[in-house]
Amino acid sequence: MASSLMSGYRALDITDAKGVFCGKLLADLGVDTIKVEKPGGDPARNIPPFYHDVPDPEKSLFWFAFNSNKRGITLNLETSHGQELFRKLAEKTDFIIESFPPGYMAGLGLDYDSLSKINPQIIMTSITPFGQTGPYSGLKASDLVTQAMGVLLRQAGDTDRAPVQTSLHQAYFHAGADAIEATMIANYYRGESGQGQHVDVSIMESVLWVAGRTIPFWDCLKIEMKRSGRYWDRNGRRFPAIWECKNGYVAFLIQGSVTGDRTNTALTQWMDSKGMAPAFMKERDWKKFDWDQTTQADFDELTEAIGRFFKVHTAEELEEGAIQRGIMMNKVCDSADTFTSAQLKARDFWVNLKHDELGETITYPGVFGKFSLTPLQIERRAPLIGEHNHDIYVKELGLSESEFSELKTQGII
Amino acid sequence: MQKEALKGLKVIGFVTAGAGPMLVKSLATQGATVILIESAKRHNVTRSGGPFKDNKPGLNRSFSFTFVNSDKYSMALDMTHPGAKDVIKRIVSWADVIADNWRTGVMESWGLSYEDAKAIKNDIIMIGMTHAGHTGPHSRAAGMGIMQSALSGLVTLTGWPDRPPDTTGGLGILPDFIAPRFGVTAILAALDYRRRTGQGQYIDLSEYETSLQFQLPAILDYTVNHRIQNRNGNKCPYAAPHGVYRCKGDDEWCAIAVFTDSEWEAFYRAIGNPVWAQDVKFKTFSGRKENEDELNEFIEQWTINFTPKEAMHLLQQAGVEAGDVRTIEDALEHCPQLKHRHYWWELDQAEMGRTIYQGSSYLLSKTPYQLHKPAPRFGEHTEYVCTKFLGLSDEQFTELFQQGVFE
Repeated sequence: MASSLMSGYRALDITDAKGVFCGKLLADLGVDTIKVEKPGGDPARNIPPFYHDVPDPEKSLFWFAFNSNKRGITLNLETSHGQELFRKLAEKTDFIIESFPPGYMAGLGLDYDSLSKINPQIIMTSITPFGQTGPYSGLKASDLVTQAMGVLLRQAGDTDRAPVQTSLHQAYFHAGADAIEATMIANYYRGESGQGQHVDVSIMESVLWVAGRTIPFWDCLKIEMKRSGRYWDRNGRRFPAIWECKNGYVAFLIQGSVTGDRTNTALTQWMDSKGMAPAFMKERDWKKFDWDQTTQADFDELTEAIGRFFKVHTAEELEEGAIQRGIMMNKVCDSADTFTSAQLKARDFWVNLKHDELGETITYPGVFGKFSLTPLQIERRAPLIGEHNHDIYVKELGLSESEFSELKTQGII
Repeated sequence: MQKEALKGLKVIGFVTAGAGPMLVKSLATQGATVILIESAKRHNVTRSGGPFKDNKPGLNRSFSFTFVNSDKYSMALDMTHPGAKDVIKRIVSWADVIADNWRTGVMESWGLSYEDAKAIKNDIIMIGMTHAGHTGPHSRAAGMGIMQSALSGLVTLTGWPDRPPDTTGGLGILPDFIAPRFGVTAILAALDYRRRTGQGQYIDLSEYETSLQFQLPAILDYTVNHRIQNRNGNKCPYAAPHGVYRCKGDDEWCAIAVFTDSEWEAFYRAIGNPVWAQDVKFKTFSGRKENEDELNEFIEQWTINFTPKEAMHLLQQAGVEAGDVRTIEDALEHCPQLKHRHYWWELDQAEMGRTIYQGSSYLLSKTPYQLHKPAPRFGEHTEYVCTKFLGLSDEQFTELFQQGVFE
């Protein structure tokens, strides 16, 4: 690779579904990231959806999505020989990403304290539901459970039904994004000081951070923002955030202050050009429109008029018209919309990766950002189980062919 | 004095709304010197958005601004004033990183494109975060978090299949929290590259594209299987039971997730081995999945007898993944784990008094962070920044001040 952003660095990714996103992002940054699985493969390989809906550890699209750009080896960490091999790998590694229950790595003699003795520069990032220590550190928690305990869950859903999760696996993704950020902070410090360290990520806290937009309302007004379906609820006044249109839904907010002046004026003119702007909207001084001074009756009147306009236009018409007029509005998209987005196409977002063993090329979403000097690239499909065992153990660690076969026989790899 | 991970790193933020300040928030928390360049003509909307201390509006009284702006300096500068040119030059010369989240074209209009900045400081690192990126047909589009939630597919996948989609949690603005983490990652990776090669660069970050990273399996399901995934309440395709169940009390709930057969056994034992649980149709995962709605009704007959915390503890003791559905108040006042990790902070600001700040979701073993200063008042540090960081003499500052450069 010519000048990859982080070429020259190596990472070992021994995470399950909780941390796999962090490993993917390291790999996308150009770090040589080696996925270390137990012999037979990681349980995350059993997570649906599957290629052509055929359940198979080599066909999980969840696995494909979060392991591209990585190489893959197998290793049984619960044997002493396996631990010895892991220590050898750790000597020449810059990052280790793990998501075992707190204490598990120490039980294997592979915790940060042990590994930093053989490689003081190593950075180990641990991603767990609640963190390495404290009264909850021994609890088990899935994505849904951390959404619940991190407050996010209570904030979504309809008032007459149970609170509802935000999409799928959002908690793990938020933690993964926090983990890559934290790992890069530790890497900066290592660049300055030469020292590695242990990074301790709490998934519950990653979720709580994104639920935190409601904290000001609690801190200031002692108002607990409750779930309100597709509406925004502010100081007891409600108006839609998600609106019905002719063929689906759009996201639009009736705003106040400077932004509100611009968007409400432009929307009123647009509605007027179709003969659909009521007098109270045309006569209104939008410069003075203020959420806090607006009554529910005002909002209802506005919602009714705007809703009528949206109902006779498609989401595509509304989005394009809004962009042209400087109004903030977008279609509520599904994956088909994403795939046909002109914006993504113009930015060369999509990446094709060959899967020779499937006899197919699969189109993947591209990288998260555009770097002017060192563009990020997705070049390699996710590894098959143990695909790079020979490369790593024989070519890099220098094991003989017979030692290598012995590892297989003993079930260590 | 404790070591801070990013001590010595110098960052300038031309940032607005909620997402902009968050683009430089973690850098400030971990010890970088972060200066917000603010303008009275075009102040950050969260400064005027409230809620306000004592319901009295004011640029220095808005909680929506303060809670994400601890440990930053605020400098007021009229970017369009002719006298600002020299100050801008000094700012760029001082900085390692310039971060902005204005619409495409705004930085250029101030004479601060990447090329302009690079001409002043060759190895500068600059990041521009926008709604959909700086190129393409929608490069000039603006949007808030809720629009990006819609655009990226988060909204479609949130809610009940028989009803319109819901806004996501966190007031529906999750992309405002998603994109900045990628931004911080990008900045630090670019700094690492600069340390090794001496070269800076420009990063074009799209909130849309970063949010799509949270949708990867759903998107691949479409590109491979041509399936459009839809919202599905609290279900999970590879777990049953998997849901949120009503408990004793008003609007009280417990989340429960059972993935494996052994977890299922542990679960029904923990709830007292009821007769219904022995029904052969619940014995296997596929059976539980097929009869999931019926299963959920049975489970709610059990949870309704307990508070969420009681249900959680009974199930956790048996090794089942369960948790109470919490409020902000629960998290703030009653969570021993958050207390143990010193998650919450209170900082004292001149006009608002003590307000609450969230800490970091991660702890670094050798460089513990600390929140030191509350969010700055508008232009609080203009003189300090000019004279201490940018090398202006007191006389030079006074002269520029009188010209109206600092608004």
